[in-house]
Amino acid sequence: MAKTCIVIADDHALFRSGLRKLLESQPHLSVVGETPSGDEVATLVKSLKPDILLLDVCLPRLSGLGVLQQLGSSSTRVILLTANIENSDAIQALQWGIHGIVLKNATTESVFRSIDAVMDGQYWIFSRGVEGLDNAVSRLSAPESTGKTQSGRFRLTQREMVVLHAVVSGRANKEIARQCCISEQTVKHHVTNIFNKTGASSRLELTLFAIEHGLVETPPLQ
Amino acid sequence: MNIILTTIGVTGRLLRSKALRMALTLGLLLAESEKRNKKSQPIRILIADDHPIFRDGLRRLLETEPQFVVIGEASDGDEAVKAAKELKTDILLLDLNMPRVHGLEALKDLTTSGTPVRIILLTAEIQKPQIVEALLLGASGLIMKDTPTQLLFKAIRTVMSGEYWIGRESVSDIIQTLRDLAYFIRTERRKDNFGLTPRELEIVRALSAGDTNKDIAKRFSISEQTVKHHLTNIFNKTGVSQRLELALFALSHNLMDVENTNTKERPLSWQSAGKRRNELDLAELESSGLLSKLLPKTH
Repeated sequence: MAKTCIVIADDHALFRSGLRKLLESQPHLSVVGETPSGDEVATLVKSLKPDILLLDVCLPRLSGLGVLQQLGSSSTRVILLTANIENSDAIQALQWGIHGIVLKNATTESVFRSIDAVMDGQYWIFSRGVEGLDNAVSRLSAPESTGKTQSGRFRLTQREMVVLHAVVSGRANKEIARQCCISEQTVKHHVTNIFNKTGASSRLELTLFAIEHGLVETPPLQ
Repeated sequence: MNIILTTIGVTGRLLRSKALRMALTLGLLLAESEKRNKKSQPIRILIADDHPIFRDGLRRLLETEPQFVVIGEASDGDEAVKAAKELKTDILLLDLNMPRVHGLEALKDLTTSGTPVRIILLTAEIQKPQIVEALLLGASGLIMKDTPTQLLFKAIRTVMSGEYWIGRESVSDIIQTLRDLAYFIRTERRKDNFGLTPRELEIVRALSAGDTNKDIAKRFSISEQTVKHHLTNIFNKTGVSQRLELALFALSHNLMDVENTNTKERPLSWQSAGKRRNELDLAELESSGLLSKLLPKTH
């Protein structure tokens, strides 16, 4: 059987090198290239023609979603391997032709399984294989994939929960923007929505609200 | 031995502190004997990161080096503290942004409890004030996740030999590094003291000098309730949540550096003599007891 050829696009050298070692521990997988920078991905994919591209969303110079638009139609199947992604972005990415989404807090085993599933013609959403694009999209739209039950009470989206956690741990908008790989304006937009949904009007009030309603696991302030 | 004593002599004169000199001597001697003992033994490494894929990959990378052995993994700060205490750990590779217990909290827990482990922060991003805080809290190194593997290996060896590692290089003069960082932070932000009122600043300084609420109330002839009220405002303005954190914040942001400090006389005489205003104040560092954490760890 021919080996599955893989390209890794991630800005953290240690993550790339480690992942390469892990993938190459599998006899049927081979890493043929890697890059830290978004604007190099399309060129690399065009010249190496890998079977699979493992693509981080948060990349310098050109984001993963930008890379997808650049790639257009190609024989390479793309799996997003990312720390976090909003469902709407994930659905958009599926419509742009990706075949899988794996979160970085998943196990190594699920990375292997996602590659095999995608090579098999399936879609892979978070932790399982799915037949067909429609099913993949509906898995992302399903209520259980939008985070914990507590957040559901206030209809906070997954990304809003991430922002909420960051606000509660005292992060500035700028830091949150960098952490989530979105603009500061988008962070402000999320915070406004969170304020609207929770009825809080300041970050401190929001923090107290989140603790009181068990939206975060942070212990109460002293 | 002569070389060690000479080095200590020079450093000592620079620092003009007998206590420091003694602590340095002790630290260096212990570091020396430790180096002899550890030569043949592998370096025992603990990995703390919330992403399993990253942990697994890092383990593979580290295990390509016969000198390294990965003795455990942790997925949050709490687990990291427990594992580092239970397992005999030489090096803890500690991520900052972890769920439940943050990396800096774990760092603080381990160093204040005197757990014999050298800690290298291994993180995707860090702000300069956090670097200062981490170093003051006793971190031995800091390395970013976009670093090549070979540099990580070098960082681990450097830290094991008793030196510091920050970014892409080893650091022999940690005090100078702290000064540079503090200077950078100060010039980076225009000074409005975070909107603290003069009274709030006085309270920050008193608190950082170790005064209790009662002490502060008595000194400024206000009620304890008013002190608490001031503290709440201070916490809100600075974004910190604890007294220790506030003291560190005050140090790293130079809130202590005012002529009229209104606090008790400092125990050391050298502190004002050679003090330049644009430097992190060593006297403050030492009197806060944090400087001892900057010295080589004793296993």
